[in-house]
Amino acid sequence: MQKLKSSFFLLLPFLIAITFLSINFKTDLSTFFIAGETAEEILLASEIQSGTLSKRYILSIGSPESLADTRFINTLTTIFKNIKGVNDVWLAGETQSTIKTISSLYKHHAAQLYSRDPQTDLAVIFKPENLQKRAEALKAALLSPQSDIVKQIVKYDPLLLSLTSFKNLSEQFKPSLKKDHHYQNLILETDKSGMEFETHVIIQQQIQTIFNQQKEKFNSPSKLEMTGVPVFAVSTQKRMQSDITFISILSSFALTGLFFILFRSFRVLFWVACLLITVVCSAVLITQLIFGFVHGMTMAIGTTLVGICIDYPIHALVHGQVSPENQRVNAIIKIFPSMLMGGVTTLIGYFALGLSGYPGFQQVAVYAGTGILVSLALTRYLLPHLMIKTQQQASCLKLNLLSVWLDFCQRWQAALLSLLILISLGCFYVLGHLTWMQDLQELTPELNDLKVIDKRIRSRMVSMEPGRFILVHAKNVEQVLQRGEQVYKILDQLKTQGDLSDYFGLYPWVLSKQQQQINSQLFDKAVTPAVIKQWQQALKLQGLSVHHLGRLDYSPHKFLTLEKLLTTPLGRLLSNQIIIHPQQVLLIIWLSQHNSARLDNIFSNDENVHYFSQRDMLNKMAVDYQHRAQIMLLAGLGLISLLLMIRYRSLVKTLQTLAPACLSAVIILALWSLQGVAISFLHLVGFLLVTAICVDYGIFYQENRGENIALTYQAMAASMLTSALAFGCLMISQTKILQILAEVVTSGVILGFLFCPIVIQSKSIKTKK
Amino acid sequence: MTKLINFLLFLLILPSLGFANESLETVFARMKPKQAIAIAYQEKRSMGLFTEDMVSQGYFYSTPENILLKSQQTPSIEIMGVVGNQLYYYNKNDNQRYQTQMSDDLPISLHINTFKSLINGDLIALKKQYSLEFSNTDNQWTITLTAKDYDEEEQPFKVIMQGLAKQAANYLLIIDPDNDRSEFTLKPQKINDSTEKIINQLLKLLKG
Repeated sequence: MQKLKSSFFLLLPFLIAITFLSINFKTDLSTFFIAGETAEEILLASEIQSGTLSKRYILSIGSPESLADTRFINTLTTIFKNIKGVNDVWLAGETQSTIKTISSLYKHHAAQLYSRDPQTDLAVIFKPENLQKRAEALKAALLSPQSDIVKQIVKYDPLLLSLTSFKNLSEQFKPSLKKDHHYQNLILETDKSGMEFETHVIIQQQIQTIFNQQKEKFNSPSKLEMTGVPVFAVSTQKRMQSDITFISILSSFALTGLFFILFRSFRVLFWVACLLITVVCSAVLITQLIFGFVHGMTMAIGTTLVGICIDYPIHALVHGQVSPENQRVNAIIKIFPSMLMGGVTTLIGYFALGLSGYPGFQQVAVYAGTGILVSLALTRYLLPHLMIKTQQQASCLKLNLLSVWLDFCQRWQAALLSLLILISLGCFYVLGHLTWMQDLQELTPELNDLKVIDKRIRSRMVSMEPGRFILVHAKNVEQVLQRGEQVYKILDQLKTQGDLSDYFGLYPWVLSKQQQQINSQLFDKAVTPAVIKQWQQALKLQGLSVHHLGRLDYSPHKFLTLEKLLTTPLGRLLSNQIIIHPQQVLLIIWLSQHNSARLDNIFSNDENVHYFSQRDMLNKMAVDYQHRAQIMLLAGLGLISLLLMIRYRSLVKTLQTLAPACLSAVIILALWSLQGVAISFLHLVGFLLVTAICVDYGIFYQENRGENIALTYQAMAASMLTSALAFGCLMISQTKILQILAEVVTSGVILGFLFCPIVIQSKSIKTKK
Repeated sequence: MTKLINFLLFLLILPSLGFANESLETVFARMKPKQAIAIAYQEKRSMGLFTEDMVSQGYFYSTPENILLKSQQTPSIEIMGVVGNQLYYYNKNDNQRYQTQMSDDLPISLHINTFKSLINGDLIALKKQYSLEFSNTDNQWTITLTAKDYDEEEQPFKVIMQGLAKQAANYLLIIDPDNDRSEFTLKPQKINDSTEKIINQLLKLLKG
């Protein structure tokens, strides 16, 4: 046994070192909660986490009191580009590099990209009167400020077909573009995804520093506001790290203090601390081994595991220390089956959590499961031998109020039970008014400031609705472009019907090869000698050169591919609309104001095209999660009930053991219902944990293996206090999700503990003072 | 007698001595505006893609507040203006308005910046982008600006400015790399109270 003790204390530092060195930490909340059902949702979620969107910032610079200083903005743009890790910076809505690329690239593909409906459009283009108008427009273009660009294009595209398509695009953008001349918005693109915390913390600091320096230099009254996935990601990670650090320190001190108050022994404190460190390190390592990383939320929720795992050593200590030295091991062995049963029921609760399908909770389940098993093993096989040399005590804990409560409950059990039943019935009635959370965004109020800034910045830009779009899905780029072209036709119809004000797909930037082929074939067919003659007459009328502009020879016909387009400066305009993956390609068609129900209905039966509303998706997820959480809770309760039935072979005993947990849940829910608090799936997750923990209290009280109910209740009190304190520490978290768990579990375990003597009639009612 | 002849000779020499001292710097110093400028112009534009030259007339305006305006009156009303770093354009025929930020990527920026520098006598700015040649005769001075950076496949962008001796420029020729050219005949106008009013009206039309 001495060898066992020595080995344990020698190996512990190595275990700690390995844990610290190998841990791979993640904090992205979406990986914790978002369980996409379809391949598209998963790809979209991963794109948000690591794709183009995750690498971009929108920087809004300006002041309501003065117009934006373009020299200041230009200087900032140049300097920002030199920040390490920044790929590019450009003005939102900037058109110059776009115009340059259009003029150099599209002139070679005019006969491929001029139309989505070439048969109709060609008939219009080549009408004699329209050729006259086109020649007139050409003359005006050549005499305009853009004549240099036009001159380059007309050598290849005398009809200016390429410019006509883009003219339509700019007209499309006009009503959408918000022109607040007090602000300029810059798009800053980085190399790394917004989830790379360290990189983006430095980038954001540098952006701010550079801005402050230049602001002073230019004596500008402008302010800088930032938004984008990296801003939210860094803020979330900072909060989470702060939470984890603070909660860990606070709960460690609080539990240490409580433990010392309860047991008044540094030695005992030291042993238990070593056991718990072993438990936490083992849990982290196993989670890391299975998932390849440990999420911040797992760590935050997992620190509460300490409050659960400490229960087993507490029970062992309470029962062990009142026994003579030579009987301690047996005393602990005697109560171990209750501990094991308690541990298994708690495991069932976490197991049900793991089956929920939420990636984060699967981690929590593995983390907690490992912790509980290691804690049980150490309590059974190591702790008894550590305790052997300590002094016997009459009672470890002096909690007189407990005895008073216990006596009171025993004396007035019938009355108290009746009262509790009445209250419960009242609560069941009130539960009918329970409100469910509809909007998952209510779970992150700590991000509200950032959301307000985000909305404010975007209101200064184009008025597309960023959270609603059409998602087209296909196996490859050509297929997605072809499907997109079919969708444009439907959207055009919706526009004429007034259900959609406008949309932004990939046309006129690119068409499928199939459509480009059709366009060029029909174009060649339409350019007859008669048409050429009419065109030349139109040119002569305008004083334009027939020699240079009259031939209408658009060959050779070359396809413009999307892949090529993405390598040009236009790529950055389009990269947030196309997601290319080896197995599938997604096309996003942005929408302006629209009738969402109508769009949803039209595409509901199309397996390759979906109307995607981020808000609706989140709300649907809220309902989905709620249903899953309800099933989890019921499944967990069911499994625990089954286990208890198998053990007790008595329905009455099973119900008595479950009652404290269930009643505390019902009363808490009823109180929230009266207060109008909106319940979410997280509350139900909390109740699952309450059930798993409170069932332990029921088991210990029911079985009372130490044959001393006062001692058993004292041990339960110590367990309850540590659990309540551990979860209670989550209340100081900045994250609402953790606060909810704290509220539910803390109140649940306190009530569950208090109800045990009321509900359960223990066999040996030996109250020892 | 000899003294009289010498004195007369001296008087004859004096003007030529003065003209021989005309230089790039003195011409540009003369051009530096201390107040707003208004210049009437007649433009003849020759482009390879047109069968005939196009003639137009109008006014240039420039103010010390960094505003440059070209107000075409015939054959149609078109106004182009540069205010700070913003370029504006207005065509009355089709009621088309256009605004963009001046940048190196914008081809017309080169013309505008050059024109601005010329009108404001900014020799330093011009020397950065052009090699300058100055020549003068008794009656006239000529400045030729040739772009330092240009495509090897094309001719360099060129500007030729001329004026009468000791006077402001009265002729401007712009030759594009593709040999298209714009010829301006310039006539400075007197500045009065209505000039500022006109400038403000034009700015209002441009900005809409």
